[in-house]
Amino acid sequence: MSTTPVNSAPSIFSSLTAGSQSYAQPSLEEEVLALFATLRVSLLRYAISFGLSMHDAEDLIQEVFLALFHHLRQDRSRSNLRGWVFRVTHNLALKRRARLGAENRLHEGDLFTEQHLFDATPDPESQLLFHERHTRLLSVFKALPNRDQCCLRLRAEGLRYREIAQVLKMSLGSVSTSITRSIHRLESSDR
Amino acid sequence: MLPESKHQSDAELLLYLDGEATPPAVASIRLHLASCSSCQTRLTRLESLSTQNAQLLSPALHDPLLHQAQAQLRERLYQAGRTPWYTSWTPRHAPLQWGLVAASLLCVFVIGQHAQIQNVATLYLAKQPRPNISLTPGATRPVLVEDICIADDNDLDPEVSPAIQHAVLEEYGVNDSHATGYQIDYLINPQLGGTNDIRNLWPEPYGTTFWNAHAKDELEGRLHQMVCLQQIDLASAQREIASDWIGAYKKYFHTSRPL
Repeated sequence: MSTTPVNSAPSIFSSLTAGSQSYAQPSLEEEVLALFATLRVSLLRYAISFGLSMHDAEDLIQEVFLALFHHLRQDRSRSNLRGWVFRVTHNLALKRRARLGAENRLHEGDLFTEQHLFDATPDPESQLLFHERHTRLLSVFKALPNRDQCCLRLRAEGLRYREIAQVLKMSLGSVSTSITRSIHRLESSDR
Repeated sequence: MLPESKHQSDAELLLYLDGEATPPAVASIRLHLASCSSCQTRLTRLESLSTQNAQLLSPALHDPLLHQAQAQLRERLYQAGRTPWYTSWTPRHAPLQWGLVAASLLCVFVIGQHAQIQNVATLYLAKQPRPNISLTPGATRPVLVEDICIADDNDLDPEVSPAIQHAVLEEYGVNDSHATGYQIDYLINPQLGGTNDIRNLWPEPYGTTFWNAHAKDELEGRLHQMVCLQQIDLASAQREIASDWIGAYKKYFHTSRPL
């Protein structure tokens, strides 16, 4: 018999991007844990992109959800919790990066070196092709301004433009412009 | 062929692709795409680039550490939940908090004249009845279900040496004088593959709460039975009892309090 996953709290994801609404509530802890299960991997990828080690990223994500718990406990806004969580992750990752950088403890790896921690075993041939193309794309991606990189990362994690704008504190129009510009740059490497 | 200015721009197509275009814009783009092969091709190309970008930045990941991380967060939330929200620091509540700090210091000073400061064991009692997940995450040995199920679950856990018992109590800040109120228990019991590693041992209270050692023993028996009847796999049973044994009790006994 398979067990019921811990993250089986009802329909929280549906309320992530919505405004305030009330529904039959699980306990606050369960609500936060359900959101944690939904967003953990995305947030880890995002935190690691700031040069944090897996361990630091894990620790940071725990902090973020503890902050979310306090936020909700004080009856603060439930509007767009996903955007809120990414914004706090972004801010804490910047702070931690500054601190680790000062201590020369920034992680040298990037998503590719981290990916093996999770990845299933792909077949070698397609892995090689995949790797070549992505190495090319990655080099172009890394040459993009930081803000453009963040826009693309957040878009790849499924955030809406208004959520990206909230996380990076920029206008909707700037998000759209940034994404279009970055896609053009990536396209130039793929010809 | 349409002049360039009549085609959809990449920005418009990307907004459309990302579901960000306004309803009138969506209708207009759809109408245009229906009769413009050039824009259809361009849309396909942008879609392909977006997919590559997503694969690059957001590869599909399997997350084997989720349960462990979730258990850790659960423990932290549990601890945080025991603290009134107004004691968490925010600038908005700074005056109130400074007042509380000052009042607390005064109380400690006055009480300190008449009584000993509360023992760490008392603090630990307040956190009962769950183990501290960072001290006791659980530890198992490689074991087959057949081996586990040959013997009945008679609750005869191997005895823990006094030295290890002392180490566990010390780790949890419990004085030896308070030790009689506790059982040094296996978080994952040996009948489910748990070991006597210190990471699998914790001081569990007998009587301070109804979620005590007796309740946990009942759960251990139930899980052992379920594993042997193949109603649950061994790894799941180990994980559930290690991450949140009270939650597991409620789940498998269908009750919010021990029977």
